[in-house]
Amino acid sequence: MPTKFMKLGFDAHVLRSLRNEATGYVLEVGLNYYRGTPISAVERLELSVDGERIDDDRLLVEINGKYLRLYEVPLAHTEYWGVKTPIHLHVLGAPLAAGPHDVDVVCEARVVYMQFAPGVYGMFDASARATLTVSES
Amino acid sequence: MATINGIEQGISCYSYTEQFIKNDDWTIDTVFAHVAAQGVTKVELVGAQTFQQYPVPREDEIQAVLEASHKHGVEVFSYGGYVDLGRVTGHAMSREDILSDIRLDIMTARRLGATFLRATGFGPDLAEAVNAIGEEYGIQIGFEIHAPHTPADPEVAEFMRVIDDKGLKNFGLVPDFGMFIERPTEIAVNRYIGLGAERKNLDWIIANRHNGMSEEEMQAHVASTMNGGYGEKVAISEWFGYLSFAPAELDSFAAMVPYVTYVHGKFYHLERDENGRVYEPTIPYERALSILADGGFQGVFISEYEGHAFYLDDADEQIGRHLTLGRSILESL
Repeated sequence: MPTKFMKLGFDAHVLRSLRNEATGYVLEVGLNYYRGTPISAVERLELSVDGERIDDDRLLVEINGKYLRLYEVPLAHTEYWGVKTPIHLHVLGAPLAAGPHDVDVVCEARVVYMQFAPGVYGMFDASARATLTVSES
Repeated sequence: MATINGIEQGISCYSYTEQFIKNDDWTIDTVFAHVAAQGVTKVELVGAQTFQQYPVPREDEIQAVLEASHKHGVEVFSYGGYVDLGRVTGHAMSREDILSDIRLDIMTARRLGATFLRATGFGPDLAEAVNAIGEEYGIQIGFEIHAPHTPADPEVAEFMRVIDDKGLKNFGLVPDFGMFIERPTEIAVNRYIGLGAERKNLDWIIANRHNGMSEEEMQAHVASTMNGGYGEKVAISEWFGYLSFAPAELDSFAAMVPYVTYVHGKFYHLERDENGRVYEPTIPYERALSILADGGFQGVFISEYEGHAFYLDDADEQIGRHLTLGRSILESL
């Protein structure tokens, strides 16, 4: 009897900051879950800014000092995403204009210890949306 | 905390999930300070939550626990482990993979000075091998029996049979009182309403939870005929999963008591009646605790608050109530 769709109450803690950097901009993302998870459990990760989906090829996921392309995330079983250790989503390309931006992250992941049948796991939804402000540089 | 009729009260650090995650300045030191303020010295520490690197925590993380332990007079009595079966995408863990993870958890328990490991993630076929690792490191393993499982499950009977047949000395069971939940908490219902569910839909789901529909059938039915949305979807998923409820299996609990290494006193929200008496409206605490004590259990009874599932920020008050409730029941026996 799986919990296929677990949504916890730490949404407001997920989208933490948005700022420009030399290669584009970076979003700090916390985890909406009661424990940490190997990041390989993340099965779906999508970012939209101001209603526009960011192309996967422009994204780099930074965790524990390593930089992963999106397809590498399910392979990164040694990288642990702790509940108090945010990851960073780097978006390569043009920086954002100073001011508020609507940010929408879709993040769905396996509950890695909750297996109900071979290959069938519970899932949790760590998605979040918020308006974050990029300051004048 | 005083021992009452051979049962000592402890606290699971997991009870502070809401504060630990939401407050950047909360560390394990903060959690232990709150535990100590309750007059409790024994804690269970959940590795995958406490540590930012798991299953092998960094040395500085271990040291932080040991320092906080010393500072506040709090002892890591039990280490809460997991087997992260789905860690490697697309790979099914072998027996050796699972035993390797169990060994890592047992090694962490040793580093923390704990004498118990709360384990999950394998079946009775591995109990003998896990017991052997426990013997090697001097750790008692308690396999957690957690909702939606109950003491009546064939797997529980099989664990007990293996413990007897193989004469396992370092292996037992940890019942989680959440498996005795008989109805959803009003707080859970209100949470789903907050997520957009309609009360009448939730009442229908509760009334029909055990009508033979599968989770998939109920999801489809509620979505298509009752205009159910996001709130109903989460409710059905959780009520078929880790917040499942059913009439409590207390008769079969008595047979399990001799195998209990320690206890997870899970609770969802304790209320006060008009006379000021504290009670758990969804779990028959008096009956369950009485069966445990009558069965001769001597050991640690860990208070484990699950308020974060309902976005509640009242762990100190609730844990205090739970300790009071447990003490009053045990003293009355």
